[in-house]
Amino acid sequence: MLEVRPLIAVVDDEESVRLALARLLRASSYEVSTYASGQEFLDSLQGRRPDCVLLDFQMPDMTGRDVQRSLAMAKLSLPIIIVTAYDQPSLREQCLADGAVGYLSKPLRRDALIAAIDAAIQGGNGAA
Amino acid sequence: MSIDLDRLASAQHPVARFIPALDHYPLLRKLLALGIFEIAFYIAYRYGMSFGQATASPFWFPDSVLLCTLLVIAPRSWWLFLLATLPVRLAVEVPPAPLWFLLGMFAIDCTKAVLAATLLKRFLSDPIRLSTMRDFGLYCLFVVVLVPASSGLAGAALRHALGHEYWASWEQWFYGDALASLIVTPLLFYWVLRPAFPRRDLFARQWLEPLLLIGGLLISTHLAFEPDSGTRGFADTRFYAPIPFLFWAALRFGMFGASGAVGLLTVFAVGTSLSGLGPFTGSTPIELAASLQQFLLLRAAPVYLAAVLFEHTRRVEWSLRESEGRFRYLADTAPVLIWMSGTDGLCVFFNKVWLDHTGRTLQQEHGEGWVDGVHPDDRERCLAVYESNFNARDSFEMDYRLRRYDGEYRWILDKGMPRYAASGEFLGYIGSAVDVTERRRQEVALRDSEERYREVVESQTDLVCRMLPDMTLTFVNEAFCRFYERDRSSLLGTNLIGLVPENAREIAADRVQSVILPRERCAWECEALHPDGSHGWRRWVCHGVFTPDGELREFQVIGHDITDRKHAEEANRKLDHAARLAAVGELTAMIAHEINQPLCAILSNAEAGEILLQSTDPPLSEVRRILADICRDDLRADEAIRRIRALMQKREMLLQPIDLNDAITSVLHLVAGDALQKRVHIRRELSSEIPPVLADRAYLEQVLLNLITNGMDAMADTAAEMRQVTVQTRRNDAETVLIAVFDRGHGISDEKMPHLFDSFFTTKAGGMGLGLSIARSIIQAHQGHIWAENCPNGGAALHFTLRVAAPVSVSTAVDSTGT
Repeated sequence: MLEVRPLIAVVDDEESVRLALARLLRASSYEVSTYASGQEFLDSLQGRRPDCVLLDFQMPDMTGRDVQRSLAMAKLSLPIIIVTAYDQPSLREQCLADGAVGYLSKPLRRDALIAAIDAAIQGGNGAA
Repeated sequence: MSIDLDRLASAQHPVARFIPALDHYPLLRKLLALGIFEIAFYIAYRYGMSFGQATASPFWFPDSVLLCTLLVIAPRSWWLFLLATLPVRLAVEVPPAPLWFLLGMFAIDCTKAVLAATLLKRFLSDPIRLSTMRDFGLYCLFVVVLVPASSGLAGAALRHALGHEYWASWEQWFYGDALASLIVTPLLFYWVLRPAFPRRDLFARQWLEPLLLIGGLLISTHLAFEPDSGTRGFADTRFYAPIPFLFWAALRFGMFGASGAVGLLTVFAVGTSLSGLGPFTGSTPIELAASLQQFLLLRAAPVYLAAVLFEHTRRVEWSLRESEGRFRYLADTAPVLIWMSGTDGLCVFFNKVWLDHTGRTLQQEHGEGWVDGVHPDDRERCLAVYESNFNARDSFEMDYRLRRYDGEYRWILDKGMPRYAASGEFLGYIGSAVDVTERRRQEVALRDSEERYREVVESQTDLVCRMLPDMTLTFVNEAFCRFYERDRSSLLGTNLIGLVPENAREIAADRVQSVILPRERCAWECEALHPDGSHGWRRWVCHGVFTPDGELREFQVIGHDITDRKHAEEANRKLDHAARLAAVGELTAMIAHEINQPLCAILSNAEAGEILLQSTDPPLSEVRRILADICRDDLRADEAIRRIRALMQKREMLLQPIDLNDAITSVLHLVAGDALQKRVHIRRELSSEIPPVLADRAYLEQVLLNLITNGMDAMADTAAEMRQVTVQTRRNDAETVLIAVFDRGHGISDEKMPHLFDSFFTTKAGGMGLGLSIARSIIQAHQGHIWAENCPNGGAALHFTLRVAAPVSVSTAVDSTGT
């Protein structure tokens, strides 16, 4: 039987970051789908839903928070890990309060990233 | 009738009338004069010699003729006329006398004549007129006494040489010369040389008196010298009959009448004596001559004295009349109103100008009639001033309204002063007045104008003062006094420096002095010490006041309280500082964001590469790609740092008046290529009536570039034929100009509108989100406002205001982070 690898959605407007994270996650045995904007990600939810979302907070047009709210409004519960290039103390609490299951600041270390993803997936499986 | 004999001075002597006709023939004129003189001298010499050869003539006529001639001709011609007498002396049949005697007599007579003529010309105002006591006295002294007496000494010596007694000869000589000088010479003065005939018109009207006088004289002298008068002697009354007529002639006709009357008497006396008739008969020739001389001397002297007194009095009267005439002329022609009052204070005289002004007659104004013309409101004061000063004999000056001929009351400035006679006797008052209505109107207007300007100055809240070059206060307004809580009198005369805080005195003094040379206004701001001890700020504007010659007269300084403005600036600085601090936080976020992105990519790529290399068959091509990406991201990080450093550079903002439309045009040229590429039409709506604005051109162009570029970028999804960016300028209000940039994009959503100018807010992919926040900071540093709104027809509009340029240079440092 083929093992279904978890699908991780990487939502970041920075192309180099998307590519690098996709490489790292694929090398870490994850499936990765990348999205350049929050709207693109939301439009993709008609298909296979990811098991975890790495969501960049600071994006043009639609910030990470906007995506969180859109998912909440659509009553879609997905494990979301907020990723930000500029860590602010209040931002962490705010994102977690909005429903994020993780909060990481760039640059992302592999072990921390994998641990957060695994925790998010397990938490989601537990909830499901 | 008083005949004005002095007017006869203008009546020309017949000879004088004749001779001027020969002005063009001086030689002929001189020869004619010489001829006339020869004839006259011959006649006189013959007559003089007819009295007897052994005695001196009672009247030596030739002396009078010679003297009169020398008095009327120029001294340079005297020698000719003196020499002309010698032939007569030699030619006239004389008793046998040696030549030396004749020549001696000639020399003495010439010397006598020259001396007398010289003395008369030198000391008498008019040698031919003996009209004053002084002149008559000097004439008697020189010509009647001194010259005959001194020449008699020489003449007596000559006679003595012929065997005659010395002193008897001298006495005869003296009396003969003296009498001739007293009787004949004046006769020649007034009847021949410059006849003082009465004016024909007067004589024609008043002919009776002279006729009676002449008749009386003739009759009385005939009675006095009738053939049998010698038998009656000198005691008879008829002998003195001519005396009243002599005095009548002297007192009515002056020296003219006196000399004529005495001459007539002399003719009668001499004639009858020569005929052996009259009261002098029976005497020896010497006794005859002596009697005649004494008789005539005693008659002539008092008569001439009376005549001279009469002339003197008449001259004084004439001078007085002339003086009065001059006064009247001046009084009536001078452009002032003149009045005079007597010792009782009542007015006795008003000049023509006064009467013309009031339109009344002298009779109406006389006494206190003039008071009727004074304005009723001024009468009481006017009379009180006049009376009080009159009684105190003081000069006074007063102004009052006097009714003019047309009924209008005109303001008069009247000055009166007491007048006194030469003896010191008070005679009354004399005054002069001028119409000062126009002057008063101008004074009132000037006073009103001054009062108006004073009110303006005094009502100012600004401190206004004037001071001398050494900063001594000469004027302070009410606000100045209130500010320093001192009254005006205690401030004037003090030095302004004393009111300035010590730490600001040097700059204040320096600024004041800097006005002198360039003669320009200068302004400065300095701390002000309030009376309550608090510190404030004041802006002083100083300019010099110069005389027409260019000399500095005073400084005028105006101080405007800017304490509130300074406090506001301080508050703004604090806000700026707070904003700067906030921006620093934002800057940190910006740095973190820009650096962490490439770092994240690098780390993830590197870790991915590690994992791939740990596999048994590592995909080297993938690893190479990873390494290439790592390099690229590293360079990106470097680029991000450089951009951040560029933004971090502080640059001083220098606000100065600039042409806004010109700056916009420059920016539009910059974006022209970009607009063409993006197929955006740029439309200009630049008002030509906007004044220069106070701005830093480089920063302003940065804002404009940002707004225009944003506008073009906003129309990326707009149909090409619709893409238009409009740049508009217009006057907003008295102090600001409005600039607007319109686009035809999709506008700004309600969600984004509040965050449009926030730092790092961006709607563009890859944008840092600093353009509008920096633009806002720049505009705020220009003391302007910036805002955005959506247009009714679609698209968005960015507006910002700039201040109209003022002539003050303000320097502000602007952080390029937008704070």
